[in-house]
Amino acid sequence: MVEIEFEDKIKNLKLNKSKLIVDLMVDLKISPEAYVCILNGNVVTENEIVTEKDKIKFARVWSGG
Amino acid sequence: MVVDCFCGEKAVYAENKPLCKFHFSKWLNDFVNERLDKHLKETEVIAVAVSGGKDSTALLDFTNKWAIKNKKKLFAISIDEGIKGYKEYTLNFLRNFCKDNKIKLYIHSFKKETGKTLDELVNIRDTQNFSEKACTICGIFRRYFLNKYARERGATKILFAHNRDDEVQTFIMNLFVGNLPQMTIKGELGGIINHSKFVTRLKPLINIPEKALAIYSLLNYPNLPDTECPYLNESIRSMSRNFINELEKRKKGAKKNILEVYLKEILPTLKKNSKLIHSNIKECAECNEPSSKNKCNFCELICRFFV
Repeated sequence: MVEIEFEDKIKNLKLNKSKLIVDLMVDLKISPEAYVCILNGNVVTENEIVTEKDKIKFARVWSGG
Repeated sequence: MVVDCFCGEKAVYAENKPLCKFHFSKWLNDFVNERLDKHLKETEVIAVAVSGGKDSTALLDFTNKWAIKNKKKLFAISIDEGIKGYKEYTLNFLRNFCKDNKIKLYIHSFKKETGKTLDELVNIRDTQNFSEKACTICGIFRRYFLNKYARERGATKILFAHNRDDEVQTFIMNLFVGNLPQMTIKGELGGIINHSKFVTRLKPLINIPEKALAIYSLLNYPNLPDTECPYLNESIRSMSRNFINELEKRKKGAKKNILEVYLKEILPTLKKNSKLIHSNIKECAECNEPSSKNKCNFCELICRFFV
């Protein structure tokens, strides 16, 4: 299971095999333009690979108004 | 397809080429310093408009370091609009940031200046069935106080943290509403510059993608509050943001291309032919602040909401 945090909600997703974050974002309909990826607490690019037991957070790019 | 920085470290940012935390921060610092060198060498007193959000915090941080190195006077200026459940968090962060970095911070509130918070003004709007959006009221008041108090404290330039996405969104928004005059006073060095009461506006981050600033703030300001203005859904900015993000998704480089065409091709022509820039800016009959009309937008709003 991969733990995914997005817009203050956490959900777990079963991954059959490791996957590029950018492909995961496409599946989840999350725009890479609008979110920063934080994989296991570290800021990474969408070109990193996510695997089972990883924790990934998508942090919103814009803030304020 | 994991792509690392040229130094071998893991990349944190990869718009053009992959960069690790160190090289990404160096790239951003070098870029902003180059813009500050270009525009602030002759400026003795610098004001930085800050909200306590990621962009203005980064801008204040970069500019403060630059000002210390170049022996310039700098102060931060912020406006407390009076938005419950939002502004108190960002202002609290800002106060601590300025204290830690020994930066003089001035905060002016709508409540103290006009007797009403933005929340109260929005309430008046709703009961009176006025059509102004919260962002319109907020924008007019904020620009008015920032210019007035930056000038009164001796600043000859005021820095704003508008990033590339902001500028493209504003361009698209002005297209949506057909506001050509507003477009003419945008750009890196903006505002109306032919009046002594207008402080020239500088936007050194105008070529920096919002995502780069978000990454920089996540890496450097972990305590920055992640709050959202409750009036966000009233603005057409969010519509514009979604629109250009969708464009970028379909056509990589769209934002960069729009900004380049706007800054290099459209803006110079607009500035050359602008009635707003070349007209004689008057002083408002009510408050003596500069205005293109007999009564400035601020005083017009005050009359509507306070009578």
